[in-house]
Amino acid sequence: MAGFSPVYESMIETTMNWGEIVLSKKFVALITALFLTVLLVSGCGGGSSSTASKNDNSGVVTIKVAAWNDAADSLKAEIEGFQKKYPNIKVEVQYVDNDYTKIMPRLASGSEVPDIIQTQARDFPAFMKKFPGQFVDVTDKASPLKDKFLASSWDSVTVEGKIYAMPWDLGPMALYYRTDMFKEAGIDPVQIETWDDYITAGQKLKEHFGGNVVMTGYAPDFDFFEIFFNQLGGNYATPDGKIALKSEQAIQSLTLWRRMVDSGVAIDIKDWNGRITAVKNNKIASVPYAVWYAGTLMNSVADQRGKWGIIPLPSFTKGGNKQANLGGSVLTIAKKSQNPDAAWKFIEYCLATDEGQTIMLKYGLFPSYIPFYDNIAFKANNDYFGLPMYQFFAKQSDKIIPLHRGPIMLDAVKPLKDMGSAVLSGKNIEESIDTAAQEIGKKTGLPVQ
Amino acid sequence: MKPAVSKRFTPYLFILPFLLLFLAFMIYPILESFYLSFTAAEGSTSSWIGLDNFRQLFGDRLYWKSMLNITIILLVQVPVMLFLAFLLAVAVNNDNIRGRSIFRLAIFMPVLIDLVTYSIVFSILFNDQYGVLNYFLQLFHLPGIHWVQDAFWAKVTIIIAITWRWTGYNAIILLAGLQAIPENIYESAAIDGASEIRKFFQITMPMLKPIFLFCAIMSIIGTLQLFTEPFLLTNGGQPDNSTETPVLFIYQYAFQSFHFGYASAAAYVLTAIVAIFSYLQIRVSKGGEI
Repeated sequence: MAGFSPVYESMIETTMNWGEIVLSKKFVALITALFLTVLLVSGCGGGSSSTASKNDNSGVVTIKVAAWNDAADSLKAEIEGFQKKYPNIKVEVQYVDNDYTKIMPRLASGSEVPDIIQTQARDFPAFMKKFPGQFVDVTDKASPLKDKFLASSWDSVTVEGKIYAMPWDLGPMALYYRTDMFKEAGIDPVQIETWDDYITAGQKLKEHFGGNVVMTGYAPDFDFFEIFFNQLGGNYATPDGKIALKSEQAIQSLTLWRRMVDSGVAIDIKDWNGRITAVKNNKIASVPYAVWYAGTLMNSVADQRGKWGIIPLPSFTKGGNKQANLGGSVLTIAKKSQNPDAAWKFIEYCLATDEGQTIMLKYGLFPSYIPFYDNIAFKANNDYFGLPMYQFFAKQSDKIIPLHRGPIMLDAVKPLKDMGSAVLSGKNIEESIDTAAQEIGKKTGLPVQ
Repeated sequence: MKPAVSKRFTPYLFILPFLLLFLAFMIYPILESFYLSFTAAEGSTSSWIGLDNFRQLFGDRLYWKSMLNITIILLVQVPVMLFLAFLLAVAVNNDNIRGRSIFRLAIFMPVLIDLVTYSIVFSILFNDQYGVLNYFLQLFHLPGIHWVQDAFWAKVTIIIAITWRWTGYNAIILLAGLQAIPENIYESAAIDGASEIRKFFQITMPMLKPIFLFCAIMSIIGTLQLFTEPFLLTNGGQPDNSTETPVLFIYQYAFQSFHFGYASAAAYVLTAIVAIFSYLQIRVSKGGEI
């Protein structure tokens, strides 16, 4: 070791002496044994105390709720009122993302599972299938509430006749439009009855603004497809579990979407944020979207207050069904929860009482809970849009056709996206539908009709 | 006896912390994933299905399409990038440039920017409505290109993005190679009457061969694992799966629909392909012997 600095040399000397003492074979064996024991104990210990809720002897329980964005905000806002009613139940809201990337590892490993989990209504049957036995059967608690919630909202939470989650919010669709732009282009919104009228109006608008403003924007997801598909009464799966995507409704939906894009009435705004940017920059004049988009408009483009109106969605045929649903979430109780009763109480408070729904409404979450539709808060006028918005949307929700999806949605997202993309890039519609149906069938293991 | 024992064990003591982490976070997942590839693991369910995942994978059109996509991207991007990197390296190698280190920093900087940020910025630049590139095209009265909406152009966008990011990195490595060529070889060649061009093709290029090989292998392995750019720039493989890559495929199956078994099988097939390919590449170029 000649040539190293004295400091370095002495460091090595010390370490080697220490090594000399510590690393006799017996000592190594002892250390290894201790280390492995510690690993084992911590591993086991971690396993048994893996559930999130705690129970201390004073009778106070804490439940953890996992939700995202506005929904999580609304649950947090509920806690105050809830605590007054149930002082012994403490609630912690965990913010997760709506892609389930934070929730999935916990469900897959079974450790640190929150007591209450939010999922999109359309994904819940798929969660039931992929995580069997992980969600609490709440049939006896929820059955008394059955007729207090919209009939169409029970479809996604009921599996084989038993209820495993509570319907939270709904996404009744309508057409948000810029009153000033329509006026300038000479379009009378009342005259837009069908999608054909919409396309004609869109072309007129584009011409008037010289291409600077278009009627609407689309993203490479399958929202537009679902809106049309639902309006026409299509179903992804039959009640006995066959993929029913190949249908007249699917063909019509895709044909209309392609027509809208090809005629220049809809531009690619890339994604959620791209749409907001386009709205902010006055590039699009209308957005066919659900009630929950109102909150986004009100918060992200507050300066366009008073410039937006809402009318019912156009229909395919004159006098045809104008209603559709997009989105909506549910709340479910995890089987691993140590306090399922406390968890139920929280869900019941938030979703099945007027006080709970009053807070939900403030966050733009439209209730599936029917008694609340008579509440004063529900009937209030909305300054931004200049009409009693929630009442308007309530009128857009009573004839929504339930869309039966089956447990396919998590697997179906990519095939459906690909289907939309293929059709928009000019591929044959029927072939694209067939490819998508086959892919979904392959991924879910379900037969294709 | 004791000093000999401690001298034997001390190195292992030094490695122990790293080794434990390595075992826990690298070896264990590799083995677990291998196990999963023989199961139908989905969500919290799992069952042994032997080679079924692999059988299904060989008939999976999307998987092989992703392989085709990545091969096309590779065949274009790697040569283009290495060529540009070489030009840059030769340019910056010149002793007469002032502020050489600034140039070196500038060409290296793209590598330092994190993947997500640069993908997002590129998606803005390549936006067909508001992007700067289409703006320039329109200035020259050319129609705007649908960068990420068209199957062909989406691949081009990805290639441009990757090339921008990695050219500098490879340029610096090639520069190091250039500087390692001894001056006296050039001098003796000059004495023997070799022209610049001959010097270039018969000295520079052959002596850089091992470095080129290294850069080529690293680039190909890196590009075969492409994920972030298609995920963020072209919205997950769109349009029409023209920019779908194998790792994107694995991600979609594992983390969007929770098919852990199938995704693991896909991962191992990809690994096998990368391994075979790297081996062939080394063999074909004779290990970089000059």
